[in-house]
Amino acid sequence: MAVPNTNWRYFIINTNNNSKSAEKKLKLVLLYCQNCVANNRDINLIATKAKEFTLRTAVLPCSSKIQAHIILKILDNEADGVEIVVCPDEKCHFLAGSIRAKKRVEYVRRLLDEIGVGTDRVGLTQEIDLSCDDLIEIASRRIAKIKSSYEEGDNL
Amino acid sequence: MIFAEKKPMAEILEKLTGYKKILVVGCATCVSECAVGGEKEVETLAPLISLAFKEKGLHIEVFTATLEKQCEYEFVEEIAEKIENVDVVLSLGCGIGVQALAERFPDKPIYPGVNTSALTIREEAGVWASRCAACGDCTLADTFGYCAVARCAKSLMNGPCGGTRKDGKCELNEENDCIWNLIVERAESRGELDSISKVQKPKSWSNGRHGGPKKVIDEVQRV
Repeated sequence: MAVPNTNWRYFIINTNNNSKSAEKKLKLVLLYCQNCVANNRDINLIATKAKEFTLRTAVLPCSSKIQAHIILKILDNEADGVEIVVCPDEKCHFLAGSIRAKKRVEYVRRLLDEIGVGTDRVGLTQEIDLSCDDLIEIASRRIAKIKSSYEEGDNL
Repeated sequence: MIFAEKKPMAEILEKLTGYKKILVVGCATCVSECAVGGEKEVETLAPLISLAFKEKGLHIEVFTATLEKQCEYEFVEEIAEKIENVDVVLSLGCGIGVQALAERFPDKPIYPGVNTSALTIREEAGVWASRCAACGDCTLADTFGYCAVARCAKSLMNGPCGGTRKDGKCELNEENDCIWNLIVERAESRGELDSISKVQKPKSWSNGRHGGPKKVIDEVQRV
């Protein structure tokens, strides 16, 4: 497996003038349980509605399908962050799906903390009846946290 | 099953520092059952290692493989080609698996990614508990099916020690049952309480780990 070199952060050093002006657009992958969204019709437009960052979404048949290795592979190969959106515990159609997702996200966050990447790269939201705009808002909040953690890292 | 626990990432990363191509090798048997070294864990650890080095500004390649059994040479052979093309191997197998790889590929650095710590049973999802200590002199017949070597904190063969808590838990760890309390209860329920009044002679440890490295040759099995 060839690992692409994505070792730049929110700001990359411009080698010509040595300034932090070359800004990279952050990318987020949003994974959501199909039962969280109120209406699937407008969800297809979600990627076009995200202006400040690149967004890819994937619908999960159930939140229990999320696994630690899936999240980490996304972080390693594709995106700056991952947001998982699942139903509140008591609304989970699979009963234990949201609880499992929550535990797995916490596990990934612990692993990321252990290697010094920080926990902000991965988040979990538990809401229901979400619209396309709601998902954009959730994604924006995660992007803001990632941006902030990158800036803190650059300032160290 | 053989039970193992993941080593801290700091220890793993320290060992892997300086290498460009890493192969993470899992085992689909015991360590998979205890969710520390199976395919899922291998596929979790590989991107984590890659991310950790990226964070330090280092570009490495991480490859993965999971063997049916890492403790048998026939299965180990499957990764011969992969190992040729990497600088280092991180094994998530138990101590036996790590050594099987090291024996087959003596020129390659093979590092353990887990600490092998016990012989356990899976009591329920996510809960493992000791059941055997591989002492080499099984006395389960005398202790009503409870192992006093593995499950008594003091490995007493003539228990209980006197420190049993009122709720039947061990004085050293309130989460563990006092195994001698359970032995007495089972003996009582079978009407055989007298049998555990007999003082057990000192146990021979020479057939277990204390007797030195074991090598058994069974001529019947050899062609």
